[in-house]
Amino acid sequence: MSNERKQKIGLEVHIQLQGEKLFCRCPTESSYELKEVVERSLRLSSGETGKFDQAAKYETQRSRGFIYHLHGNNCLVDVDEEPPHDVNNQALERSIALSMSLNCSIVDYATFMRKIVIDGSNTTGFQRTAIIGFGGFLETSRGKVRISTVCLEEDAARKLSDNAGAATYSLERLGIPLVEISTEPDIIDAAHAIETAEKIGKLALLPGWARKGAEAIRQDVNFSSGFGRVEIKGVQKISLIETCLDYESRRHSTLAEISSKIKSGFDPEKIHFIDVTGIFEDTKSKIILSGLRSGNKVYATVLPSMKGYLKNGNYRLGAEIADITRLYGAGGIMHSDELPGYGVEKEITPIISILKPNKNDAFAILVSGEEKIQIIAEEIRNRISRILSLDLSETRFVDDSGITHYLRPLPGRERMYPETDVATVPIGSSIIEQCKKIVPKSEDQMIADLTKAYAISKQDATSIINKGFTDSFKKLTELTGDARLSSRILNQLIPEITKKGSTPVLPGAVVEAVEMSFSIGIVSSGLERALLRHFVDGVSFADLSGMPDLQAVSHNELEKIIKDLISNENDVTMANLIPRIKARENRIFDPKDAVNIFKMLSQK
Amino acid sequence: MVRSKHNSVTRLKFTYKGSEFEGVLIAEDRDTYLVKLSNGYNLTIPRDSINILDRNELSGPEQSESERILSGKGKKITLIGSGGTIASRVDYSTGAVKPVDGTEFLRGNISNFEHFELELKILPPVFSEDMTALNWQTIARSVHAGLKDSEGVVVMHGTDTMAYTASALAFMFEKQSGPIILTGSQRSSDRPSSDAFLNIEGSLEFASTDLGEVCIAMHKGLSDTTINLLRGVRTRKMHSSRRDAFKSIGGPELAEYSKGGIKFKESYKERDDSNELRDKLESRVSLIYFNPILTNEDFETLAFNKRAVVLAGTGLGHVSNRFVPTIRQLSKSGIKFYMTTQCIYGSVNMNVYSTGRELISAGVIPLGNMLSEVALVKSMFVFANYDPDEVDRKMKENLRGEIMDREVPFGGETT
Repeated sequence: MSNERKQKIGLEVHIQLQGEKLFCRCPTESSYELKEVVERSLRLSSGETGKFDQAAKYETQRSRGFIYHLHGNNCLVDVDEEPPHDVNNQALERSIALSMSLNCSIVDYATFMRKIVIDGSNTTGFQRTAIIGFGGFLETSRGKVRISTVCLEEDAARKLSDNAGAATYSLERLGIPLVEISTEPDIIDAAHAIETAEKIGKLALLPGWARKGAEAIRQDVNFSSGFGRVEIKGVQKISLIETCLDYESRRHSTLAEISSKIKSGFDPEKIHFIDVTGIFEDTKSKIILSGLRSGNKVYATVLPSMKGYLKNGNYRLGAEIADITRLYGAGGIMHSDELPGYGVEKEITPIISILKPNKNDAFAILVSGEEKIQIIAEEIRNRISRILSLDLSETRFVDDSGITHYLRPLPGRERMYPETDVATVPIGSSIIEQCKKIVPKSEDQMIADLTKAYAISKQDATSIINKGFTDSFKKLTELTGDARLSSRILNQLIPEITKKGSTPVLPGAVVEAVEMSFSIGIVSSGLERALLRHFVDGVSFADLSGMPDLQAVSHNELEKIIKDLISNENDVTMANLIPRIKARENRIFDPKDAVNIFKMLSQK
Repeated sequence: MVRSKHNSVTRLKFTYKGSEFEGVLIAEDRDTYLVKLSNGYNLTIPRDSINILDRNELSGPEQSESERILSGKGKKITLIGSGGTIASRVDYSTGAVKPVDGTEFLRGNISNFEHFELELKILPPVFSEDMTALNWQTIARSVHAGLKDSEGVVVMHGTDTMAYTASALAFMFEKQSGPIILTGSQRSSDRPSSDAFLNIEGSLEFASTDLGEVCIAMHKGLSDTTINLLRGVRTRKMHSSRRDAFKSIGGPELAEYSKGGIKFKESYKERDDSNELRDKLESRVSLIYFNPILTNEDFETLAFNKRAVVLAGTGLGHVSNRFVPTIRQLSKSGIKFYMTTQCIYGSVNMNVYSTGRELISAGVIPLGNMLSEVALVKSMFVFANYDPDEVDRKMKENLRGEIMDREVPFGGETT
């Protein structure tokens, strides 16, 4: 299909680095204890060229206040009450090393910029960001995916709630170092996008650099089918990549279909809201009643040539309009493709007589504050005009079900201006050499290395690496001298303990327990039993040390036992030797050793 | 030296480390180019690593979307720009903030813009830390002119020395026909999170009241909700960066502005029917901040050839006994010594300890709870405008509310 060929997919993968924040020394982790609440407003400022960014201008028009919740890992820097401190060196080095592992060139200077974001998600009104690497690539099963840039930036605050008057954000996430890896639109389809996202994510996950948790790695998906680029924000779960790409692809083709049908008949100037509050005085619509009670008015407008396209089969132009009205805090719209409905029935005739729609026109009803209705009308006119002329470029966000919604216009270069509070950081040869030492390996390389060095199966190595158990595995093998035993403990025993016990057990605790077990004389062959008793049954090490089935019988003791058997039980043979020893001795012994001793003694 | 590329736009096409880029040259120096890429990001590129494929000079600056401010209707307020971050933008050639040359930054950013007829006067901009007594006099004359044909005056000022300027204006205006409000910003006005606009919004409201004092109007807390009105001669910048850095010392603020309007909390002096400016200032004054390793030599150097020396002493108003003979000798030669406390909060009382009593006998005059910096500025005013036999009385007299006779153990903060 020609549409398939035109389809372009790119990714922006955002990885949170754990440790300290990017421009202050607050820890990235927090106990989520609310310490303080601050109220702010943000205003638009222009970039170097004196122009305003469209996306930022759009946010200003929504003119909301912002409420910030401060936590234990917030300082004055987070709440924009102190200039940023020096850049976090560990984060800088790790971002350079990640760029190197993606075959990027590294900049000679990290030049931090302010990216204007005035939706409130940054207390400053901008996000600090710098290009670290560029011009790289990632090997995938379906060819190279080019990497355009690797940036080091500050994570934004987490939105708690959003309504017409104010948006509330929690600041514990603000300022966490975020590595943003952007690909060129080389990705072939959703499955390839998932592979790419996972491969990139694992570069930071496997060495333990990324934070733990659901939001530690997030994707933005860029999609185009020839009608402009759509940037889909905040695809947190990898599984949503496929759903949202699928949704977006269908949306584009449906809009193309609608556009071909109504483009010529569409006159944006006909979209004009008229106050029809009077008609709804004794309405039965609960939605409208509650809107009226909070001081809003009811408005109606003709939607020219849109009859049958608002909500009809695959056509969903109504949703495109409702996305706007919701962003301006006005709730959704009720439109003629779905009326009568929502308790609106008897009002329809008087509205039609006021609006006088033509036979192809639809109409919509909206409950809104008076102050916002003009700007809403303008936004609808602009957006529908753009959609019908098939300029679909915009920023969208994805909801939990994988459906995307309009968020704001695409930001332009005007939203970037220099961060004058942070000095440009030269990345000299000593930093480069330091970073080369820590370049993360790809997952495949790590698995191959571990399999070779420890002679364990590829399956075991994969599991150890993906669980982040590599360091524990190495320590454990140093203690046991047996890589397979170590692998069994980590890959099988830990899940078993977690399943049987009440609390999950961490590999660090298991390594400590193994060390303790050896120090009290428990032998390798009794180790797994000992760990189960300790972690599941709560047996103390003091009690474990007295348990005979965890101790070994020494060679000399074994010789003594066998001598005794031969002299006291004259029917002892090679065949019944082992059960006979077991009948006398609870402790663990080496059966081969026993057989050798028996042979030697019988020959005498 | 960095050369600004402000007035013409240079488009560059170049390769750097094997990748091809396009962008606008923002600045260049001996070693590097600073380029804004077409995606908006800036790159700093060493000259020896860049390979320029195409360099294209486009004439003329890119047009700004901003328009000149249009005045609203209502009470006339004069806005004076004296410098500081409140009316500043990023200078992209040096990366520093530089003062705005127009007023467009206010448009759409303050909610009460339509309520006033605004006249804006821009003085040659001076960074707060570069202000001297000469600048105070220039500002005072500009304020004087503003009061003559408007209801009140708002002075936009850098925050570092704003309290000094406020004190200077307070003493220089014997009479004022309207409020004189100084305001500034702790976050420059080119940042979306700037505190400048709410500070100006509140200042305009205060400037339209019947207040007859010189005050500072700045954020009350970390939220963009409330602006404090602070008596200039009782105010100090108490934090290097917070937006609520300005605090009234030893007593509450005079009023608050929030969305609900102005709420006065303390009694204040009402405006006079006319203006009287006494803009002479004595420059032969100094402020000595006592510390345990200060030597007599340092002390004498700082007091040399001065008419008045304000001491910021410890605790209740002390400097080491080792300075008593020096002070006694310098007093006899005609230098006046005044004692304030470096504790900032609280009053001096030089009768409690013997050192205090000896300092008094050596010629030191205690100034109660007058702030050290205020005392310094006051001495400049008093020594320039009163006869030598009047100066001690005037220094101790409460001229503009700089001395609080009562400090109450409730209602205020101590830090």
